[in-house]
Amino acid sequence: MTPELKTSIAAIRFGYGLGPDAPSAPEIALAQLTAPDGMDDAHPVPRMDLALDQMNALIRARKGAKKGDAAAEESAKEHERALKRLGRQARTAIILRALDTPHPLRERMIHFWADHFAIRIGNGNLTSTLGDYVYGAIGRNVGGRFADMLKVVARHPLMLSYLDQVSSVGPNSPVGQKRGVGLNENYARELLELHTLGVDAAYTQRDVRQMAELLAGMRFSPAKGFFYDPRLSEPGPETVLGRSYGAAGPGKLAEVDAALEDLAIAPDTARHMARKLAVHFVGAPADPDLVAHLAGIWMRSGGDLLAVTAGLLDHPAAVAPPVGKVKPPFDYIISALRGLGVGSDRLLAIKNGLSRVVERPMSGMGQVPFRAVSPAGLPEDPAAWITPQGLATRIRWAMAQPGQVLDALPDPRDFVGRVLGPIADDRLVWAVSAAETRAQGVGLVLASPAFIRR
Amino acid sequence: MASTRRAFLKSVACSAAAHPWMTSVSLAAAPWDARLVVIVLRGAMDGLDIVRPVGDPAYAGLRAGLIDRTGPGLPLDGYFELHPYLSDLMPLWRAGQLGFAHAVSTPYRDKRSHFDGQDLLEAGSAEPAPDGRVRDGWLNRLLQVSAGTEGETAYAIGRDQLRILRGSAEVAQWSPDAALDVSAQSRLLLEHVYHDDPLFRDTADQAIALAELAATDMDSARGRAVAARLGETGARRVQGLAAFAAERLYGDTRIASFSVPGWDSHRNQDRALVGTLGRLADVILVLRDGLGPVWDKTCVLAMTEFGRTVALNGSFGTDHGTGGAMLLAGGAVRGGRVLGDWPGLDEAALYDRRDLMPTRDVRAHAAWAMRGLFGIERSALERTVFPGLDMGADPGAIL
Repeated sequence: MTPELKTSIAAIRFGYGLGPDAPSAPEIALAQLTAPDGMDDAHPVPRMDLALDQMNALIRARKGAKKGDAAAEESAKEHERALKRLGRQARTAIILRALDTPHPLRERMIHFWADHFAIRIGNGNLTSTLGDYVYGAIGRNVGGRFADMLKVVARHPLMLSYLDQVSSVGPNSPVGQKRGVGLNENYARELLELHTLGVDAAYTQRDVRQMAELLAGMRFSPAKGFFYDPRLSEPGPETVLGRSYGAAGPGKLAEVDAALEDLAIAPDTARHMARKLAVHFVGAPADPDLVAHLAGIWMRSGGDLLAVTAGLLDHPAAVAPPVGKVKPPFDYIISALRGLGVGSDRLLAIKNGLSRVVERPMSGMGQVPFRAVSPAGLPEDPAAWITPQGLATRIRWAMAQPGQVLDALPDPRDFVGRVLGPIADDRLVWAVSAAETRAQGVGLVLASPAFIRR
Repeated sequence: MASTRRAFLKSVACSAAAHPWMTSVSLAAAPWDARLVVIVLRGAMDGLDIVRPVGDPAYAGLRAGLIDRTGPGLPLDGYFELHPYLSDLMPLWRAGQLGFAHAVSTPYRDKRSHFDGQDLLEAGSAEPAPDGRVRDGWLNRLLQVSAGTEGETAYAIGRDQLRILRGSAEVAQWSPDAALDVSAQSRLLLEHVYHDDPLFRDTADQAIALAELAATDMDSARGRAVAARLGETGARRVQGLAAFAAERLYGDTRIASFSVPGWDSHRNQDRALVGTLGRLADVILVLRDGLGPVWDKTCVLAMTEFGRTVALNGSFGTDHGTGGAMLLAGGAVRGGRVLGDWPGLDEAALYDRRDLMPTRDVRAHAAWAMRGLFGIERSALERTVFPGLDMGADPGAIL
């Protein structure tokens, strides 16, 4: 295997394709995950306090509107629109950052962990906190400790609401007793099954139940943001995986955090995360040696994501052919646009560019960002994306969109080398040279298995 | 260069014969003969406007402003009237092939969010789900409890996520507007590029076959009806979905689902619903015409996430409510009736003093339809397809 092939595979598997910013070595992980990338300034996302301010103002205005105050009703509508704009701003920034970032590895890792902690946004007011979720809760921790990410995610309104934690009440808590309400196990279960230990790990329904009791009290309100409400908490102690948390009497947030810290570095979690990283970035079935390597680093470093990511780039399997995975629609469109040299300036200069070039085609290809169909996140199986409709939409995008976003298309014979390097196969190179038009040639490259896979 | 290209195309044409783009999509026998179409009406349809309870003394006062604008409804059974913009469906009503269930809803209450309401409608679960674990859709669970279903037994049609069909049972999916309208030469070159990758090669074959799906028998009125509608795009796209559904259901497909959006009528509801109601009527007639003789074995259910407020708001619209209506159509339906216990529109009879009180779970109607059409065991319907549902008595909506 030539060094060029290795570098090219690394760029495609761990970034958004070939180019000067392609991640290919452990020292790059260090730089890209922790060094400033300028994206907070270039494409800012709304801060949490801004979203909370708007939600609180909306609540006040609605109270006024209920009393028949017409100005308050108008103001409520304005705050609703403002909240929608915050969500829109976040969704836009997520696309533009991926297009422009000089640190594609960081962006890919953010999307990996944001999908690991999948949420489902609707059209409600909480969508205004999406930017904080992706670049705050997740983004600030991609080069840090997994335990910290787990704890911030557990406090975020999008997670608390998506997995129904907001409707879980300790049955023996003061509120539970008074109102006769009880636990909702949804978040506790997914926390063990999906976020940490994995479905094959040795935990029982009793652990789920105890975890749910421990989590009772985790709440969100616009007035307070995240808070822990002892009146909802189940009197302790609770035992999860054989370890006891808390004492008699109302629970405490520190007990939840202690359990999350332990879960983050459990051997089952290390193996589950190692396998998931290997499958996502390299391919299925996961290379057993790569999984053991990553799980080992996870255990030795206490779940340090910087060390784990460096270990992923370092392993020989990480850059071994074949490129067999399929890029999900978001990564596909971003890598195609980056390959064409289209940055945010160009995309925003096109009328309805975001929706026409990125968002609508993505949904035709089967992905609506941050609207998870299941808490398990996006499918990894290539066949889940390469369906008749999914592939047809990719082919149409490849043939038509490049000509819409660029005034002058590149010579396809150069383009195939630039975006695929040594990964381009003879059939593709030959077909490109036989193309009738530039649009067709460029389209063949972008519709090819060599470009769609990674 | 040109001559090289010609030579190349010739060689590709030969290999294309060995690997035809137009492989027929394999059709296998299905477990039942009846057909079920579920239309998800996204945006919360105002059941009180579509099926107007003019016999209720409170109705006229509550809705006078709107009725002035649309004109009076079309008499159904003496108590209810149909929205005048659905007049094209009156022949079906008279033929006993159109009916409604009124004052129905999912178990979703109080928050009145479209997204959550639609999620629950498609999941078919109660709220709150015991442990929030219902991840798949109820039509998929119907397949899971049925022996002998195949990949084409059920079709999700359109670009929607259609969670109603998501799950472990295999379903087919296609959006007729995903047509692969690339030139013949692009196609040949793509085939060359895909040749060594079976996943891409086989999927492209299927995409081409689906994109070029034409009515199978242009000599019949049925085939011509399908052909006339298949290519419809843009705002009239749902008719294309219906035509595609009809063509598949005429073959070996037994279940199809797609959505008709456009019901969120907060302002000037008369105008907001002109197009949407027209499309809904059209969709049902496209299904009837496109199914031909199979229409007699077909039941169409059109369901929405929740109803709308009983009173008009300040802008001649209605806001998010609770109880609403469901539409049933098809030759397999015992129509010409409005099913349900009418709760009344007095303020004290309303849900939360603002919404139509649901008197029956809309899932019970869907469950009885599946029992009648496919003979699914009641226990499977109440435990698996709609976990925790009590189906109650049979409304007798299926012939």
